[in-house]
Amino acid sequence: MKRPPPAPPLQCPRNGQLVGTSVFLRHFRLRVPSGRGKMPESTAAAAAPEPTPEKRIKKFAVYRWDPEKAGDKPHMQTYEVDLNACGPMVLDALLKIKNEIDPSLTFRRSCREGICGSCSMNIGGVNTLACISKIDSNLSKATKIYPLPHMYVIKDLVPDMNNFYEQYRSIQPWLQREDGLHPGDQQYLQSVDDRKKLDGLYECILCACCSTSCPSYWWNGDKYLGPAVLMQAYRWIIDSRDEHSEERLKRLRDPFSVYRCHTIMNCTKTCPKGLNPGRAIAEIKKLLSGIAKKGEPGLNAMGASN
Amino acid sequence: MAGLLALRGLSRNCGVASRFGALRLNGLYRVTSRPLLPATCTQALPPSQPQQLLATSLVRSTAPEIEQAGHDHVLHWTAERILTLVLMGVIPAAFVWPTPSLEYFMALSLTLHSHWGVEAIVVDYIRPSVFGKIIPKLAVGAVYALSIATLGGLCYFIYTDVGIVNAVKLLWKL
Repeated sequence: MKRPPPAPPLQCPRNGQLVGTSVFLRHFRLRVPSGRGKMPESTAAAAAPEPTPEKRIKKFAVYRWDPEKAGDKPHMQTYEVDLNACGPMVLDALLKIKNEIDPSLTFRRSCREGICGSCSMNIGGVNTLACISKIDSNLSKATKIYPLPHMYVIKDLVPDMNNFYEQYRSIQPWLQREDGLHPGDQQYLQSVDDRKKLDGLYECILCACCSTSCPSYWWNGDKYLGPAVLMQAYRWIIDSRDEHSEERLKRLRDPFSVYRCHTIMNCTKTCPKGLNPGRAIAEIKKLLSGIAKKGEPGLNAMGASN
Repeated sequence: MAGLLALRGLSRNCGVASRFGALRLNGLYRVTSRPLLPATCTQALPPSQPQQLLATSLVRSTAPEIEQAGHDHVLHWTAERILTLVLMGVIPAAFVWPTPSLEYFMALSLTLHSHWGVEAIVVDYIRPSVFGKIIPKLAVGAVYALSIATLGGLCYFIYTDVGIVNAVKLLWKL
């Protein structure tokens, strides 16, 4: 690799004075690419005849609705994206559309790697995360993108998650103990087996893909808590360090909070993280009916203080 | 920033107006002492409103209550499971030893099983948020009437005619 020529003397071109670090860095950064950009003669000759790849135009039909436009009705808008100039995931295509075609397209996104749960939407009829679902490479078919089903829409692909978050708050998703200690006062021990019970539950990112795929949640989302929230309810019920399992279960005994689950299992089928909320709800039902018991913790949670 | 706040306020108001109005998981909104906007989502909001709504929601630290909607449903669920197990025994038993007592028991358990199933469907779909207060209750009443009529009809059929098992066998022969 040919090295870039040495930087020019550290003098400001305008007044000839010595310049500060930031200006120096700017000079340096600007010069590096120009040095690297020059290819050796032989490589350049070999690369020249390579034909530019054909465009692979993929159509995306996206749900659009703008509440600020008076009289606007929800409609589908089709965008064309060249897959050769686009990343592999649906979120890449959406970002490309927003950056290059239509800046008014509105959707939530954050981590772009399936860990934040922001970009959950209905892609090709399946609730999933746009950032970890691959673009269907079949160019003859348009990929349809809708917001999460049966949610109130704020704009375009952005659903109103307030009810969902309120339901999550209602199951009190935090450790509850009788020892009167403040958070951080004490480490609570947990046996390896007890910790294993939380696997497959704690990974939930609350993207609401499962809840919004559940017909029971569509019809009774006001009173039925939905798979995502119930799985978190179960996660706290069976935590060996939590001492309020009975109270937690007591709050779920009515006909709606849990028992609107009819084991349709759309939740488990759609979960983009591969979790099984349907099983968690079944476990709650078993605990409620007394068929199963939580069991004593394998380790004394307060053991660390002795 | 103002746009963001306006959007959040908009979402909140949509939620308040359309979703939480008469529902139970509205602990967050009960604390707002100001009258909630009966706003449609398309209405422009004064800039002060969303900020205040946002502030009240951020200071809340307690969980909203899960309102106990109706009776305890745990026994019902357990009974459904037990009945399913019973049916798995009763139906073959009634075919192997077709006695009137087994037939009556099968008629009762089959009717109860289908009654609970249809009742669950009616409760799921004919719900107060869509049909108002009266129609859902009438619908559940209609399910009871239908189930009682079914049970009565089956009992009558067993008493006066060949019975369920024999009827199935005769149908099978056709």
